[in-house]
Amino acid sequence: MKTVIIIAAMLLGLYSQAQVKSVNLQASGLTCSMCSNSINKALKTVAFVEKVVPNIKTSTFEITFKPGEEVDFDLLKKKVEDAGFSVSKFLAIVSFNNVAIVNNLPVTVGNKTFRFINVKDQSLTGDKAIRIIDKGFVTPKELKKTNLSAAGNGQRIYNATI
Amino acid sequence: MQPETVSAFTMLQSDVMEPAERQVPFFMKVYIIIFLTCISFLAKAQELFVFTEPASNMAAKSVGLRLNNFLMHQVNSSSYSSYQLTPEVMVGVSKKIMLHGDLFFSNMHSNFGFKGGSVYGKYRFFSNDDIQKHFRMAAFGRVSSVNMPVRQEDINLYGMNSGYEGGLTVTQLLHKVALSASGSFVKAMSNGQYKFPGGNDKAVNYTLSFGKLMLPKDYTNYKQTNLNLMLEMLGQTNVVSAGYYIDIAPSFQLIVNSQSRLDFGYRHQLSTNMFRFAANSFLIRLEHNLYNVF
Repeated sequence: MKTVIIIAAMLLGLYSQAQVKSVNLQASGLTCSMCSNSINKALKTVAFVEKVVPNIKTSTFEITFKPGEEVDFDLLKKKVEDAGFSVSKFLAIVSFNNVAIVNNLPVTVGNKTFRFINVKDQSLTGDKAIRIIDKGFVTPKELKKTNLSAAGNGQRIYNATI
Repeated sequence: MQPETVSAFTMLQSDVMEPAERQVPFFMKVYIIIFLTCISFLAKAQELFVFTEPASNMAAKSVGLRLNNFLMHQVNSSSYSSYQLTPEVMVGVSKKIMLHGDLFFSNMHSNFGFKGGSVYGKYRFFSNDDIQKHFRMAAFGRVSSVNMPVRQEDINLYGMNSGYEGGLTVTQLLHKVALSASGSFVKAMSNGQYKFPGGNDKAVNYTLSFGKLMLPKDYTNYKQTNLNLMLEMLGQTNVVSAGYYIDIAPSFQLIVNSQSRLDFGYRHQLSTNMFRFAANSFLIRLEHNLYNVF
């Protein structure tokens, strides 16, 4: 019985860690394939990244992750910046299991905490694309529009929208 | 013509016009107008310039290896008899800082052999990125040490003079049109035991660069070979003697596997009132980039 509980707990643990299914990010400040390739190669060095599929034309990168690994959005952003460019759009496909979200209030999904901005209060189920709108995840122009204050006290809270 | 090119034209023209007593020859004005007209018509921009450096840096933790071959038309000679071989290592120290180290081997003024080296650094201090567009500024500096006689009036820290240089580069990529300009101050020093003659040892360098992607028409993967065309203008005005030169440097570039580069360039003197040992030259460059090295 004890073993069953431990296995069940492990499975649940795995389930909650596998919340982020993929990320689609767009990089800005580039047009050349050599520049795009430097981002591509930098993203591939990240330990939890399984696969990167680049679209050179749109400067977007479809990133999928190794199962069971925690996904660090800030590290993905840093890799793009280290290659010499910026992130202009960051979409994460996150699986929700009946999670109630309230506009402007933090909510924990798996091991990440999000604060949803400009959303209707609702309950989310299944895979949803959420857009991170923190500084460094959107263009400077867009950031000015949202005018977000720093979130969280010590804890990383991602400002996001649907 | 774009507003940017109008201001660049005004800026370039005022640089050329200084000092006031030196008139810009008519044909040079024509060249400048043709150059700027080309800029306003060409579409997609590339800024991996052949004769200058843009304000953008290479990726952090990457290393680039270059083999630069210069075939120079020596003055009073009927052929391109001067050859300079320059191996170069480039390191992306961080996203904002990159360093180059160069060694100069040439047959100028003596048999082919080691003539010196230089270190170049660039710091990108401003970057405003948007989708397929950016505005960037960088400060750069070079220190060169060369051991051979000084037999030309122009100051060339890339293989002919010892000295130092510091300046700024501005690169704008805007709706598929990119333009890069730089200005720097150059101070020549004695080449080891060979004194710098005269005293006209201070100059201002200015450059204007444009690049266009020709092939492929559609990007689908990193294996596609890219063909880029570049057009650059390179000028120097000695602040002591007011001697100047203006060169035009067209080039084409192949990028293989989005990782290696093959540059072919020709630098042609448009106008000068200085004695230059080797003004016109061909450049053949091989470059290979390694990502995430350290």
